[in-house]
Amino acid sequence: MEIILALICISVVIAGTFLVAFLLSVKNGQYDDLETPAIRMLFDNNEKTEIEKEKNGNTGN
Amino acid sequence: MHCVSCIYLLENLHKIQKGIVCSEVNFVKKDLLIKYNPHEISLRKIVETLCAIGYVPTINLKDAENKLVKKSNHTLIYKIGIAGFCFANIMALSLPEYFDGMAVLTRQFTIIFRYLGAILALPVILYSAQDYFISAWQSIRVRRISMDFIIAVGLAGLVIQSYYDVLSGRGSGYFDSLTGLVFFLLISRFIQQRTFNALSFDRDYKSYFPLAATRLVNNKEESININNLNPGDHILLRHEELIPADSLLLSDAAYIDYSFVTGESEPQKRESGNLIYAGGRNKGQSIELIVSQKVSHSYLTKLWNSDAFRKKSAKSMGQWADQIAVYFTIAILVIASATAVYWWVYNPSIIMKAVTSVLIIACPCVLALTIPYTFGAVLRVFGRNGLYLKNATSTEQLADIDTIVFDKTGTLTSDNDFEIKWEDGKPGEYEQQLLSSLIAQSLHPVSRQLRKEISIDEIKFPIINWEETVGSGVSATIDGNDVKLGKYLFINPENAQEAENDDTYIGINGELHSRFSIKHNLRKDAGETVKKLKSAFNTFLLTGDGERDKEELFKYFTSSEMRFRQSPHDKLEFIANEKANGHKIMMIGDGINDAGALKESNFGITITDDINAFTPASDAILDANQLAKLPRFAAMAKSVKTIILGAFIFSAMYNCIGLSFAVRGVLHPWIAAILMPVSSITVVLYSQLAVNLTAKKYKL
Repeated sequence: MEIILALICISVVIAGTFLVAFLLSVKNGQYDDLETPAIRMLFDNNEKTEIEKEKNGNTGN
Repeated sequence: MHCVSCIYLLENLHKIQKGIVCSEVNFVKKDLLIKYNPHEISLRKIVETLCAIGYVPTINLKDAENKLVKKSNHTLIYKIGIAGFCFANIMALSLPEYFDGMAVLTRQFTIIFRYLGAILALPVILYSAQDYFISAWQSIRVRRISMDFIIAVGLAGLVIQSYYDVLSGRGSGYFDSLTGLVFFLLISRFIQQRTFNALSFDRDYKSYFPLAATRLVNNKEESININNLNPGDHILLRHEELIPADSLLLSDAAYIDYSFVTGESEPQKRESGNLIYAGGRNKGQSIELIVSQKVSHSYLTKLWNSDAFRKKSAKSMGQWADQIAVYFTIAILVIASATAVYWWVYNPSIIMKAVTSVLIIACPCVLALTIPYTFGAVLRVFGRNGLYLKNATSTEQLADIDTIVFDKTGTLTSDNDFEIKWEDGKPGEYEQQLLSSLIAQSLHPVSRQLRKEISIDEIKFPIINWEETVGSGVSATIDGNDVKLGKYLFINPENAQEAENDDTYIGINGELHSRFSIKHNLRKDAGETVKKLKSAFNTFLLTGDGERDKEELFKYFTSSEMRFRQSPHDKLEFIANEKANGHKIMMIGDGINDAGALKESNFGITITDDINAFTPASDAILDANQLAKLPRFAAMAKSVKTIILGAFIFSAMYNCIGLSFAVRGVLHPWIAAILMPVSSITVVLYSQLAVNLTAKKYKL
């Protein structure tokens, strides 16, 4: 039965780690802007030609 | 910033412009953060690049002042995180005991679990829930019963009873209910706080004024921060620039557009030596001014800072919540004392337990949850439809409205929607060609409006001797004709007895050719909207203008409902008077001239064509295209009261069930632990559903 005690301690510590991770991520501003990162991930970031196109064509909007 | 390509372009600035290290967009706030190397590129060059690709940055005084004051609104999220963590763990620790764990678990384990729960509850009580205790303490000091006060009493009851139970070894306490309650309450508070990030509702003159002015020192131009402008400084103002401080005019004449400050739609003529108040916009030629007051002492800024223009902001959950709280408290006190009396007669040993149980279970948590959830849902429905509320509780003010006051210029009429009325028929093709050549270079508003009317793109004829006389008109020799456009006296100086009016005349070769007047149309749907609103509300119209569009307005307002030539202060006073007569007033306006009235009114709506543009402080911002929905917004806000009443019945029902246990002194922790989440979840679902159905009903 004593093993339950150890398990509980471990589970609380693990949960606590996640809590700290959550608080840190809030502090670093991960939740400040929920829109842009969702859009940003759609960009290709290793195509040179695309950028050239953007530069010349898509300027007005 | 509109779409994905905007973000793409702005985040790849470093590939376009050398010297920029990286850039990051916040799409919601419409912010762009740029890191650059000052040795390679100047700030000016960056701004120029941005302008070149079509993203003109807003530069104003306000932003310069709170530079880098980062709003850290994270505390609430921390509190929610901690409360959630403790709630989940305590729940897990209390479950074994609820499932008759006594048979399986040894006594020793039970005690350890209880103490663990008691320890885990500490951060919730001391940190997460502190706002409720602080707020309760404040309401005790002002001797007023608020919702937070009753919540705090309930929480305190839970805390005392729980620690007493655990420390004396009588039971497991209500730590799971306690932490769960705090967790749900904090989430509702979070929802209440969430609003439209990108919109500013508390803008003041600082966001309207430019950052810098052009000062002339020894005939050399230099840029100066307008806060550093001193009386006596000599400044230069170009076309479309804003007058930063009260000044004396040095140039011969100037046209100043005060529409934003006073509501008059026509530019005002000022002559040399006149005092020009800050906030107007220079139209036409560049003018020179001598500053007579510092920016912070100008008429406009003083007006803005006057006490009448400040409205105290209520921080509570709203009036309704506090009204209900009063009844709640009375009911609880009656029930608690009845319980106490009953047990004092029959079994004095459980008085304490029964009374604290009543306090615990009667906590108006269900109501405290519904009000923010309902308002939050309404806020989102309205936002989807183009009415952006400042915060969730403003729904309440909107629901109580019985009188609606409109501003005219920019609110019922639109600056971009006008009609040119030709008195003697529209000029022929050839004359139109001449006119379009004449006005091509003029910046006067009438010229620009006329340009839209005749819309001839090509200028065929060469223009000789083009001249713009401020306050009179423009003239030039075009294709051998002497063409003039302007006031009557400008065309025909000899014939001075002709009545002076606002019409614009066209003269060709010294003869009057034709004349026209410009009429601002009411916004599409504006008239219908006013008519619809009239059935349920008193309506008034206040305008800074003269009686120009009176006939048009008579269709919608009676003469007793219209007030002309109203200064910002008149408007403010009108609202204050109506308020004193017991009316609840909604003010709909658009400019700084309405700012005072907007603040004084119970519910101020700013109407705007571009929701990200400057708007004076108000309770809500309405997209001008959605004006027609206004009657439905008002109707929906009124039905929110019914929704909240429904929640009140729910809350009463749950309380009756809970109280039936509590007064008997048999409120087991597991009963509380089941009742609490079930009631919270049902009530949240109820309010969400009710708001969605109501929105459907009003087609919002």
